[in-house]
Amino acid sequence: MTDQTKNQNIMTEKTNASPRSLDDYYEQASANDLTSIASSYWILLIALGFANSGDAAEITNMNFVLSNEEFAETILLGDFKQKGALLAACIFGGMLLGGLLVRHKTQFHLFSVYLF
Amino acid sequence: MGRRPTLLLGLGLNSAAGLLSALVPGFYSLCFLRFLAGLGVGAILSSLVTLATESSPPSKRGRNVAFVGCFFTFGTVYVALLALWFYGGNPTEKVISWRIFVALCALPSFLGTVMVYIYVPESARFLALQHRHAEATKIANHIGYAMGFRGQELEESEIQYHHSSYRPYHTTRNPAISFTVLKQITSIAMASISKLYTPEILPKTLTLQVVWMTLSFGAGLSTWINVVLKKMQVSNLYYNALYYSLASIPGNLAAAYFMDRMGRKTLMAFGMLGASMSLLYFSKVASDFMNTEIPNNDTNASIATLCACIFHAFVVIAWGTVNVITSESFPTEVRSTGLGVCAASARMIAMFVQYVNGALVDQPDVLLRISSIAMLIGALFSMTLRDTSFKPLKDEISFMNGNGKDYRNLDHREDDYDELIKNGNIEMKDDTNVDFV
Repeated sequence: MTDQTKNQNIMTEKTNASPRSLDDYYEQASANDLTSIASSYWILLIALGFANSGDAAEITNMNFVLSNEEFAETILLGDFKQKGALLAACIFGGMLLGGLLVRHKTQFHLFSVYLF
Repeated sequence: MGRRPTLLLGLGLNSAAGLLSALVPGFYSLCFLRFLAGLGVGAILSSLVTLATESSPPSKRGRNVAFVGCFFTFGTVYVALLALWFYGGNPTEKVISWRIFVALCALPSFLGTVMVYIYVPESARFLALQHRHAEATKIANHIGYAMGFRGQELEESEIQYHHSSYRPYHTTRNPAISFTVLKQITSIAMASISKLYTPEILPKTLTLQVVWMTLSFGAGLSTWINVVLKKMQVSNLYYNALYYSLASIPGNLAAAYFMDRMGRKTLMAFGMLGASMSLLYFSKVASDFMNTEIPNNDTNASIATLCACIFHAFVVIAWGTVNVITSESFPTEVRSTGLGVCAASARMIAMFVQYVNGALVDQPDVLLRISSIAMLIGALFSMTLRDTSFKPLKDEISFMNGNGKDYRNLDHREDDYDELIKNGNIEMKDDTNVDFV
């Protein structure tokens, strides 16, 4: 008897209903989602939202830093061609590598096992 | 490594890099910290969508992922408001250091780290795939309770029933690092990538890559838009930067509204063409300003800002559409790899274009014209894509019919594909395997 049929038998005896998958359960649980708009589930989504706004802030702040006079004079020494470009490029290099390292659903996920 | 630790690691890297940027002694240490911040962003973008998707019921996945996605605009507007507050009324820009500005830009990441740590559990699906059934059950019930559900709780045996036959996602947690294993992994990766370049889907892959790269080339202007506007002596720079950030809101709304109504292909071309045209006009305004050598007037400045805002709205439409059209264009077996390869090409161009922009920043009219041409090329290439609206998703690159006949030579024709589904030769599978690099 396979694991699956064994489990199916356990389920049938116990609840007399087909076992719910995670998706089924979430679907069932969220049936009254709109009525409970203040539910703490939204805090989970808002927390993920803040995580998203964090990377937006990191990506866009260079736009303001590059145009800042003090920064251009003291850090870039007026060199936009080499230094400004390198600085602006760095975050995209990091994004490229960071993205490749943690792609769970592709073959690359194995790399993350080695590197973290 | 789970989705939640990856997300927390990315957020932690982002916050730390942001805060430390305020203390850097010189240029190269700042570059290193920006690279670390980029690593963090890459980790966040990859795990965030997966976590939001896997913690949502199937019928509300789109809504929830879009809700989380909206906060991207919140982040850009926060930065623009911060800059306006610090520098808006201060023409010399030297009263409050850029260092304090950079440190405060890390605040959303820091807040995100704390909130995710407190409120976001690991994905139950990820734990189930790792055969950690008890933990998965506990988390699923926690989420169900948070949704307001007070009915019969999910039981461990239910998760076991659905997941016991799966191979654990990571077969081992601390594998020995060996050259042979790394070589094997690389060859698996290369085999998957090389599938994208088989004759059946080669034209599609190359076209999408060109679209991603040209879009990334044009959108690279975003990092330099303030410098460009400053070169054109636009007054109220920080108000204009705020309008520029806010322009992503109509862009997002338009993308959501027109995605199904207009179709992906048309919307993609529309977005890139609109961005190209607004940049072309922007370059004309810049050219007039550069050639006349008279101080810029308010009308010119307003037109320049308006062009920049329209450009941004169209770029947002194009980014939104390119993700959808790419994930729908590739069959399931190479969808994630396809998206990854396209996004990786775009990142490489994003790095390269910074040098183009940096070199041309003293000639804003030329810079804007080149970006406009890149967007135009992207628009033309997107016209050659096949529209994927209301089309079923493909699962495999080639299909066999009931008699074992290979449909390889026909499968690139959507009509044949529709015919195969109708005859029951192939089945549609539910697919949630969509994420970004």
